[in-house]
Amino acid sequence: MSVLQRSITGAVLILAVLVLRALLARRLPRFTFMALWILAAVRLTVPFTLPSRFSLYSWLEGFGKPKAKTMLLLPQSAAVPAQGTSPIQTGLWIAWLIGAVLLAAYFGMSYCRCRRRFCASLPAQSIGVENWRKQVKSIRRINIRVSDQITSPLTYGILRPVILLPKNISWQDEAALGYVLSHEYVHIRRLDAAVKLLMAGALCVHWFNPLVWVMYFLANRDMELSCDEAVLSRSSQKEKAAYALALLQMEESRGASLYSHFSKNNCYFGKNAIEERICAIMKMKKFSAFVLVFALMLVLSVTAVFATSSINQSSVSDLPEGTVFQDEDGNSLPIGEGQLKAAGRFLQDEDGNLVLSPDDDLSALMDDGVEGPIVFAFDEDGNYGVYQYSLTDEENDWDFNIEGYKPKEYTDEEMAQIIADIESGKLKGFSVSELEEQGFRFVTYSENCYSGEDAAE
Amino acid sequence: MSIKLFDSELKIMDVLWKEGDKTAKQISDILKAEIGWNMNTTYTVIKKCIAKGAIERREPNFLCHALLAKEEVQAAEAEELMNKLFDGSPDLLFASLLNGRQLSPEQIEHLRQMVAGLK
Repeated sequence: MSVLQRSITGAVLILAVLVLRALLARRLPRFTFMALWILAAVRLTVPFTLPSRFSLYSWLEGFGKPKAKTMLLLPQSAAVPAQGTSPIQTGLWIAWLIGAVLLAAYFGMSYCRCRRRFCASLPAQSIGVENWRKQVKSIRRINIRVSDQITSPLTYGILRPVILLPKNISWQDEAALGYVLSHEYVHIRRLDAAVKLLMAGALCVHWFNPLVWVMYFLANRDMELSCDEAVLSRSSQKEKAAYALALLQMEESRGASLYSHFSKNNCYFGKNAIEERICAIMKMKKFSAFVLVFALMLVLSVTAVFATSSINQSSVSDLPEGTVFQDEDGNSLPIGEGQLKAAGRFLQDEDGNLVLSPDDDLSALMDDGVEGPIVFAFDEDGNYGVYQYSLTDEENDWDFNIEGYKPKEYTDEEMAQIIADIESGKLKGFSVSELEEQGFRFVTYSENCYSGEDAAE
Repeated sequence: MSIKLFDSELKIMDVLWKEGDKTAKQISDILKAEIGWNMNTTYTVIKKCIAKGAIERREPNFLCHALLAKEEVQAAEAEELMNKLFDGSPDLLFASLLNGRQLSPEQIEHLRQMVAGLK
């Protein structure tokens, strides 16, 4: 899938989360939305998706006929996606790349700057901190340090987490200090540093998508709210008030934020973030088991519907009418009249065109998230079929999975001609295999296109 | 004095005040044992101190020499504290210290004598 396609499907998912968040924010635990944001970020950044029968996109494909596709036949030497890139496309691609690199550089630089400052911190030596540390057991050793160059508490580091406290925090108030440390500890336990990295990654790739920016800010907010929730899950109303006051106190003592970007509350949108947090804390209630189950179901169903791809996406079982075959010069090839009485392996490129792939490493294709190479075959009569390799047994043998098409059986004369063409070098890059069990002969693009005992010659 | 040092920078100064001139490597070793700083962090902070004019770099071996005396920094910090929180009045600052009960009677007596001496 191209970046744009991923951006669009990701945006649909973000919109769905926004609607759910608006409707159910008060009724469900915050962590539900955090899980959904993580899901959206994964959908935006990870280049492959799981097909699902429940997918929105499977459902949408039921409507409307697929558009005619252009087939491109490339010789072995040509690179795969070298097809029809107009200057505008190239320009857009370069603009996207520049934007992504600039944003990533910005993130990287601010991170390094902050990190340098965070490193120059001193160990926290206070009774409150020691008392808190005794109560908490963590697999990773948690370092608690103090800095006079930050204005609000923060956590950094994934493998070796460090809680950094501002110097002017109220060291005497052990209860407030405990809340602050517990809050940061929830961040550590939930690997929120990694989640933030994921969000920043999604933003860098999809910087042109306003909904991804919305996700970035709201996810940061929900992260804090869900941490508050975790800290206060078993607290009384009085303790909540104390926590809210501790938050407010911190807000007061912070001047102009030194690194507003990485600070936790940003007031970029709508209601002031700290106000939202205080409101959420005071209205926080215990969630019943029923609500928790509902939240889980919600996350699962959103995953199934919005975060998956159509079941048909990677297995092309049909070629729409009006499909055009082109060679690398853009000349259309009449079906059946050409010399190409053979079959080749085709892969779907970013635009959904089928491209003859010079890449003959099956395992590489598997890594790309393609179920198996798509094999396309046609003959003089204009009959064609699309097949896909798939794994059929435990021994990981490749086999043909024929979807909807009966392959044209070549006559012995035709086959002989093709083989002769291949052997004489007229048809470059192809090789011949016979699959007696399947009842047809098959010409593959290359010798090591598949392996298995069925393959002869 | 217009140089404002962060705690991290003061930590470096502290080493120089206590131990005299030290090379950057030695400072790094001391602070690694004491507060767990790695070499990069120490060097970064030393460079900050040099840029602020608190430390002078001498050769060979990146020998660091404190340009600020501890007393200067103490005076400046006390001045700032007084101006920021005690309306610039030393009386209020002392009153606060005395009320804080964090001082032993001997310390209080010592402070009294100091104030008398300053007058």
